[in-house]
Amino acid sequence: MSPVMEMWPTFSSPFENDNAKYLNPSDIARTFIATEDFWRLFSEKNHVIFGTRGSGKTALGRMVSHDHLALLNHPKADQYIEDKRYIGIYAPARLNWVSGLRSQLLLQAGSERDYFILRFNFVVARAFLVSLRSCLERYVTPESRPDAEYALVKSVLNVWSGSVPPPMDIYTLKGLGKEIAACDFRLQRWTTRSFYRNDELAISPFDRELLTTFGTNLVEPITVLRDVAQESLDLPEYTKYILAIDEMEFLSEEHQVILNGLLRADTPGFVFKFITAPYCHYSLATETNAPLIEGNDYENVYIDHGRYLDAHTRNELQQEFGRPISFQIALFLKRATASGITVTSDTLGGLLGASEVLEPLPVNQETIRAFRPKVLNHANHKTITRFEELWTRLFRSHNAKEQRETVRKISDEVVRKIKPAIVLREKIAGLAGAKKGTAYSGLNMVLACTESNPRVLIRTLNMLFPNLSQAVHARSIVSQIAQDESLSTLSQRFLDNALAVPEVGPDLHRMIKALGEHFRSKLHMGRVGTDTVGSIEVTESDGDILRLIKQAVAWGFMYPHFKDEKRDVLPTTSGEFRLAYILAPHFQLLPRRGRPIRPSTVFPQISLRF
Amino acid sequence: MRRLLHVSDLDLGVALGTAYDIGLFASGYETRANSLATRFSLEQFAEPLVFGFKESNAVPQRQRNDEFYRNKWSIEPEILSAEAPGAIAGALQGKVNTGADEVRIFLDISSMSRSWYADAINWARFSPGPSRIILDFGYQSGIYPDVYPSRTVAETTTLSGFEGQSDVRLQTVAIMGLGYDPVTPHAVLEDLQPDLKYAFLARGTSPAALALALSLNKATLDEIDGDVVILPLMSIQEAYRSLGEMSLPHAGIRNVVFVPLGPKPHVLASLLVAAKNEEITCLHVKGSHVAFTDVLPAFEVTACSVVFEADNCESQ
Repeated sequence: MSPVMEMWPTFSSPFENDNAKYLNPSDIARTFIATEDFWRLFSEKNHVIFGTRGSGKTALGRMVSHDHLALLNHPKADQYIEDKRYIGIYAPARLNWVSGLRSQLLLQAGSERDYFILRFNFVVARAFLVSLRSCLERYVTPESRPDAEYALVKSVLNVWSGSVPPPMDIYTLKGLGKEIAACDFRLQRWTTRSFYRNDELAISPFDRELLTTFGTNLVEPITVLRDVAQESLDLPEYTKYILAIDEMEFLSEEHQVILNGLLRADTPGFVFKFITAPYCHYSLATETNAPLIEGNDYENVYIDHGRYLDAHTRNELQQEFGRPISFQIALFLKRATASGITVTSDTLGGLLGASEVLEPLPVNQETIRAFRPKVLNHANHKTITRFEELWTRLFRSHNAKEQRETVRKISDEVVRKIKPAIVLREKIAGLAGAKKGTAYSGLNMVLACTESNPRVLIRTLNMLFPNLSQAVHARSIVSQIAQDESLSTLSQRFLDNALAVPEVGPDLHRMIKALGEHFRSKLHMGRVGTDTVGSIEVTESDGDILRLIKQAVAWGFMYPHFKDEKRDVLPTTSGEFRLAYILAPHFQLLPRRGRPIRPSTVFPQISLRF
Repeated sequence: MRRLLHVSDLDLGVALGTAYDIGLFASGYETRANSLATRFSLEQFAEPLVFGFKESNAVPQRQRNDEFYRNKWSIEPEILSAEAPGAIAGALQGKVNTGADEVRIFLDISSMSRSWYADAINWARFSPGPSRIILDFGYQSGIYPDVYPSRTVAETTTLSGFEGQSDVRLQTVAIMGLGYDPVTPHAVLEDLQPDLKYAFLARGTSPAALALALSLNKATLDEIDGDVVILPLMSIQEAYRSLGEMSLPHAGIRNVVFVPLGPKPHVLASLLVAAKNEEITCLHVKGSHVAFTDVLPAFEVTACSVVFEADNCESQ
């Protein structure tokens, strides 16, 4: 096992993991699907990357780091590693770490700004050492490695603590990383003890040195090592260090303002990638009074907008599986394969069957004839009028070509659009007493409800297949009832999670519920058209609702709809938003965007606390 | 510096017959807030201290509780913020004879902010002075309403002095103490995304209480690794031992994070385990209820005695 891998013991199969945090570097590299957005990060630009919960942000950030990229089987990765073009560093701002930043006791020791910089520098230093170690493994021969590593450790220590030695001899970068973490913890304990003793306790000379070095400027402890690394690892002048800071949504606005300085300042040899939830880059302000300018200081990357496989991955998958593969199917295939389960591009469809609701009907006269009573029974006046107009034309025509054309028109304009709604209405209306639902089943329905959110998809698949290996082996289709139950349970739990959103949970839950129930009533009560309502259009004048919707987007309960806007720019003052499709089973909706309504249509019915 | 030597259950009858250097009580907004105080004699405490929350002093029950201390003990509750670190420690330090070998303090945590008894534990660990400090904790169990209002999560922070080790390169183990609020555990797990999740909850004072807690927390319990650990409510000693067994295999090699959301004896047991093993983090999930929930005193009282002894070998 490689030294880097030791830190990431695996305790379940990659298929069962719905969070990249849990995967070891090898598993994450094997299951990672390179998208166009991912490769955009390897550039000389600073980026702010937005992605909702479970969207794969952490996988993206971790794969940027050198120790992970080196394991990715991809020609671009090989090239970047070989050329020493980019050295990625991954520094997450985990909640348990951020919670410590909010400790009232520790903040009493000095300014919040200084304390944040000190603690952040410890994190990036630790992350930098991991990447240096990966470089050492790649760029130094095994025979020379121990000596080179020791020399590198000494050089780093010389920069960080001068002539003051650490408490114990350190020979490896891993050992140095541990000592850095230990020193961070010692300093924290020292602050606590000094506080309760009401007296500043003695501090070891080494810790004192690190306190000084790490307490100066943001990320300086690693930027000053550029020359050391260049010399020790024989890095070219063009090498760029990419520092990816993950989970920035947990940091306060004040912390982000401090970090924004990284995007503004020109730090030779370094670029920065901020990874956060949508609308959770809380401020463009910097400490210099000159705010950041998008396009100038940084560029946005919004990964929820669409997950487009990069050309190489797309071709490779197509060659391997004989047909074009979507992101979701690719995710399933990679996860299953990495878990030692033999699957093909048809496996998932074979296990889930077709969706009665979403599967299109064949385009022919017989289908239309059979479907006509349903249209007359469910559709609104406008749709029936259009249908009947075309239907009459079809039977008045004696020209085969014209008939074919009319059949296609009926199918395109009416049947294709209204069929899912009608089938769903009939299925839901047929539920009575203990009768179990089947509407939310079938491959297309599962893929539609889970969208391209990897965490939602993996959670759904785990619920559908408690033992995937056995299911694949037995080739047993999961019953429609079981699929419907699983999706409905996940949908209900997903909605319940809205209550847990800090500060606005109950309001958010009420808003989503009001929207979902409104859309449900429009779909299932009265007659239905070809464009049922299913989204909300807000403007700046809807201040409170807009603020709540932004929270919903940040947490993955809603998504913006892009028309002509730039795909990476989230709507800030107005826009159309829809519910996440995983909520469709709970509200008995179609996993489709739908026509927008204005907030006033729904929200007089609920009272928000703003 | 002192190290936590041992934790043992304490019979309330023994506590009621013990002379204490300091008695520390909290006037809160629950009816049970002064229930234990009514059973003690004021003369048992060389220094009786009563603190009242700054945050909820307009609640009528809180005012009645203040009246009790004012009229029966002639003590005006000293107003403190529920969160400020060092406030309790400061009060204790001012009242303790630093030249004494041993100091014994009784703390009624029935309606006390966890930040306060965490502060008292920190004081016992780190303050200068006596070589031996004994903290006797008392807890009056409560009768909760059938429908416990869920709350809005505001902020997750660490309890002061219990920040623990948070090495972002290590995996994280969350040990969740569950209560009757099904929402907050979800919020924490969604944010924390721990690599391993364990949970414990109180056996409660009746089978129905346990069944209710299990049913309210079903969604969280479906997510955890292994089985939920059911701990006794009325034995802090046993809860302390069990939580130690759950956490110690991970301490030092993973970030261990306690998220005690259940009853106070389990919050206390979590704090004591973290006081024994400083790498462990204790998170405090701050939030607000839509309305104050009055908790009436139940029959049961639990108490424990925690001994801290000077550790002269302790380094920085």
